[in-house]
Amino acid sequence: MGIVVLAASQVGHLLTSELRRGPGAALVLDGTGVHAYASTLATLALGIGGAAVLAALLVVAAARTLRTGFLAPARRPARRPLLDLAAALFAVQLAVYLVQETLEAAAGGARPLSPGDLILWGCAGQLPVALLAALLLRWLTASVEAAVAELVAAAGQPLATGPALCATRTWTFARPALRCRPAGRQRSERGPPTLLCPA
Amino acid sequence: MNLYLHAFGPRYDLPISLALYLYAAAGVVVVSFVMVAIFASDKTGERAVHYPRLAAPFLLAVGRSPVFRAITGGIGVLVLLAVVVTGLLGVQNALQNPASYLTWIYFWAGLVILSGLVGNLWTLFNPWTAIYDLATLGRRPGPRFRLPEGTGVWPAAVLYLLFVLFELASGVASQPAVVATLAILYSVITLTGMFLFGRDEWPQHGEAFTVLFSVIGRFGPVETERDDRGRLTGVWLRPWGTGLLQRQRAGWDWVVFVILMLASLAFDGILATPAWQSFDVTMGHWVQGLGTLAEPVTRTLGMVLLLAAFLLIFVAFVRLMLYFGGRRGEELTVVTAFALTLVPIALVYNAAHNYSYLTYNAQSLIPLLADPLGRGWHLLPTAAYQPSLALNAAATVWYMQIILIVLGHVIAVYLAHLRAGEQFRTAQKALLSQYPMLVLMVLYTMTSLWILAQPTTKGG
Repeated sequence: MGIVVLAASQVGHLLTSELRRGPGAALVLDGTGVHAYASTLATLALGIGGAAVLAALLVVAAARTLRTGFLAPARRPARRPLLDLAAALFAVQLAVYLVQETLEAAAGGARPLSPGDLILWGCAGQLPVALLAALLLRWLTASVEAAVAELVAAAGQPLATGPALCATRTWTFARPALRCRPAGRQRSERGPPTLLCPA
Repeated sequence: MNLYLHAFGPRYDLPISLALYLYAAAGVVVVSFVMVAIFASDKTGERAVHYPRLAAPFLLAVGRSPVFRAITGGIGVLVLLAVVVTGLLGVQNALQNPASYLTWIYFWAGLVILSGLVGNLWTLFNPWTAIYDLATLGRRPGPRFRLPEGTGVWPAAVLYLLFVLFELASGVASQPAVVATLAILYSVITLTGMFLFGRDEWPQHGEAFTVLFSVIGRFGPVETERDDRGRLTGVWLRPWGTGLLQRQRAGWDWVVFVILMLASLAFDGILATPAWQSFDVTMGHWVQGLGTLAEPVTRTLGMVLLLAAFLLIFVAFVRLMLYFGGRRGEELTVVTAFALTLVPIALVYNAAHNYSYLTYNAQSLIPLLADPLGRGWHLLPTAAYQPSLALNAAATVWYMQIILIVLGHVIAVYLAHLRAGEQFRTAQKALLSQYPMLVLMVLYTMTSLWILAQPTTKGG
């Protein structure tokens, strides 16, 4: 979740910066100082990095959705509400955007963003990315939760129904000389279960 | 709207920096939170939202009187007719046409604030229920169709959003003929809905203003009760704001409606800030291919973005409240319950934002009464009336705005505290749940004041 938030906030930051630059404008390095290009390059690099993370998650989510998406609704794993995810992502992304813009302005000697700028540009850049990231997370959490549910269900199954026990049963009768374990310690020591030992 | 937009005259030079005002206002909200935590009731469950009310038999008699209903309904119909006639036949200049004043100042700003102060006045002045009653001779025939299950107030929310976009984004809201035409169109939609789905059923689900005033009216001190046939059965007086603690059906339709009230008012304020000018110019480059539609599209985008942002941030904070309050599940019930505690903020923001319209611009209707259609008539001796600026000095406006905004947020903090007592198991959990709400209130107070300060003060 933390990685997705950070990645999404950087993509949103890059989107905002491109929106503010205007359509068709070439990349211009801000300022004229020796290291004045650092801010623009950092925005670009972090934004592209964040986009790469989201793209990778998109591939994983799409692949997993192809597996679970065609299941009947009753068998489809439960998903987290999209609104909750989008709300959490957007709130944190907006906070990251505020801090990042303030730090960049302070580093560049510019005026910090006004509340109006923050609301308008923050929404324009961060909101679409938050919605996209929420969709991704929803798909991913559905798959992860389904996998965890399967593991939990498998762990709770009695050993008697598992095929491995049948093999043990055969093996036990084939090697009767093996020492039987005391009851209640089946899982801690090697050897056949007590109930399978000949009387 | 171009009616002397924010006509404050010279901008006001604040005696201290704007930031100090913002911090002070936020401080008052924090202190009020502490006071509420210490002195307010720590009851939980149903008892937490119980409030005293006093029967008002005099108001019940007045409310039941058919003569009173005929007079108020008649006034509503007359105003609607005045908007249509003067809008279509009068001077096509918003400043010289009564339709603009009646719609945007007396109805949209004045009646909303008055309903918050007094109670739901729309039930009395609603012109469409009056026309319906007249057309059916008060017989109230049954509905021909039933609204689908789960309709909620979604139709009303959609119509409200369209109305807001017309006001703030279309760019034609100051054209009287357009206002009059849309008033006719809306009347047709509403009356058709009432004939198809029922006199009370359609307005409660699909008439934006009925739903809006039912929400705003909950803040007022007059509480009414009606039977299944819509007849008034009881009238009580209650403390201001407590009506918002009444039980409300949980639903995203209600949450979106309340958030839309807040977001539209904030967007109206943002339009007057330098930040919007910058946003508008920059985004204009992206949509310049749309020609004359570029401005409405940019504004619509801004409004939708703000609505989505307000909704998401509110949901995020309610999630935090649930976490701090140790409650699991039933998120929608909690979201709906706390959404209504935001209504005082919407109400005071409306009053603060429209203060100059109500105290100054509203007076400009008086000389127009002498010649409403601009034909050189002298129907009343009011043509020479000059609006007074007595209540509209920039300093007065600024301090009124501060008082209103802080007051609204303090009331919201108090109501949220009581609501938390109802929603969470123990008083301690309820108090813990309110820390995120406090942060939200502080942020909202500072942002609201910053927005309001922009056109008023030099410091803005």
